[in-house]
Amino acid sequence: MSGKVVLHYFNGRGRMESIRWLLAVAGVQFEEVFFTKKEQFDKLLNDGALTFQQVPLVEIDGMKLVQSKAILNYIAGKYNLYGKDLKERAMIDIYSEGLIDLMEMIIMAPLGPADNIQKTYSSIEEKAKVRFLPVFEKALANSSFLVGKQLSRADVHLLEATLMLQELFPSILATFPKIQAFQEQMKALPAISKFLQPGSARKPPPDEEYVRIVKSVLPHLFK
Amino acid sequence: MAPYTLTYFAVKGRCGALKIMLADKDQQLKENLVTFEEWMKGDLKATCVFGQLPKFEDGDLVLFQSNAMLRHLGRKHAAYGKNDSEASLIDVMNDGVEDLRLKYIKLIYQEYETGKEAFIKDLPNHLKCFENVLAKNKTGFLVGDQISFADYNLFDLLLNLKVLSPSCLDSFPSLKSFVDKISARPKVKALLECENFKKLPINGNGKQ
Repeated sequence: MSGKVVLHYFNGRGRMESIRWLLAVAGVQFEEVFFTKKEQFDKLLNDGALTFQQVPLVEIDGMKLVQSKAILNYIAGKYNLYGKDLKERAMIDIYSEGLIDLMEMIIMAPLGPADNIQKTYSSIEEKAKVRFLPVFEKALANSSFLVGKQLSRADVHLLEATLMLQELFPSILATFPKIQAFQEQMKALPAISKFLQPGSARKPPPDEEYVRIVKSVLPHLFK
Repeated sequence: MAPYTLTYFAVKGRCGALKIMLADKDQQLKENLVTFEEWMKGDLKATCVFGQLPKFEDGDLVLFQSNAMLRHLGRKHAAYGKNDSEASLIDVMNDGVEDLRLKYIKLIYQEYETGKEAFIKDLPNHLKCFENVLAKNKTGFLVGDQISFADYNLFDLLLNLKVLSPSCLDSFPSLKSFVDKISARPKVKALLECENFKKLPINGNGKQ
């Protein structure tokens, strides 16, 4: 059951970006269908492809999968990025859940009320420094990977999340040397190095045009 | 085997589904109840990944994040589907439950006075997604023909929603039947009727 992998989403990061990262690390080529009009979303809705009336939607192995975490779980399991046993998988789940929570805050910030955005970013910075980053600094104290002795989805999420944080708060990793070293090690991996080059499927930070398109395609979420 | 250990507040909160699942699977659970005063001291908080409860121990494996716990127990106790395809769909369903649970939590802790009416009015739009899945699957479960951790999670959330809005399932026959069917499972029934479980508030602020 192979065939092409197709990603249905906006031409921007959002909840699809972690999926792009994981597919890139797994060396999987994919096609993308970008929403620009509400009619495209409505068509998927009417076709019954969106179980919970939400995107992302990923076509993979004959399935039409929704829910970004579920999609990430499937890709990680298929491409050996999910640990070697039950214990490792459970630990990877814990770290992944936390990192996705952190990235979700960053993803949603530009879509919220404009007059509140600085307050939102201050809150994200504080939570990152106090609640999230110390956990990963500690986990990397005696290891190159967050869990076990091989690359997992948790490592990929950590790199993505910390790069996102640095875009917003350039000096945020100053007191986290292990995470800095981890970043360099991860960036040296060929698949990641390639994904970080211009012209890859990696998307830029959201701009006003991206926000405008999201709000026009999904107006029901921004009443 | 030593029982599992759960450290959490004296509420159902994010651990209702986990307790229901363990009861149904005939697994022992030792509980360490934490008072709000103890938590505010900060000693326990400092030992928790991401500074949050619940904390769940399976032997020497210490877990945080309630959905990570459910997934772990699903893998261990044959509640994660029969193959990769079913497992993926179970993940999809569980994530759908989590989305609705987050909306419920936001209502309870941030918008109860101002948002309750709107939440209840919008609830059918969310419930119909699960109704459609159950109606299509026809087994009484969300995915496949055996119970999964996503079923326990949905069941727990529906019990909470029925307290908030007693008539919320009236126009959803498959969901109503789903709740009745899981409630009737002997070990689930015993837990739901157990005084210790019944007396636990659903949420930490007394709102439900």
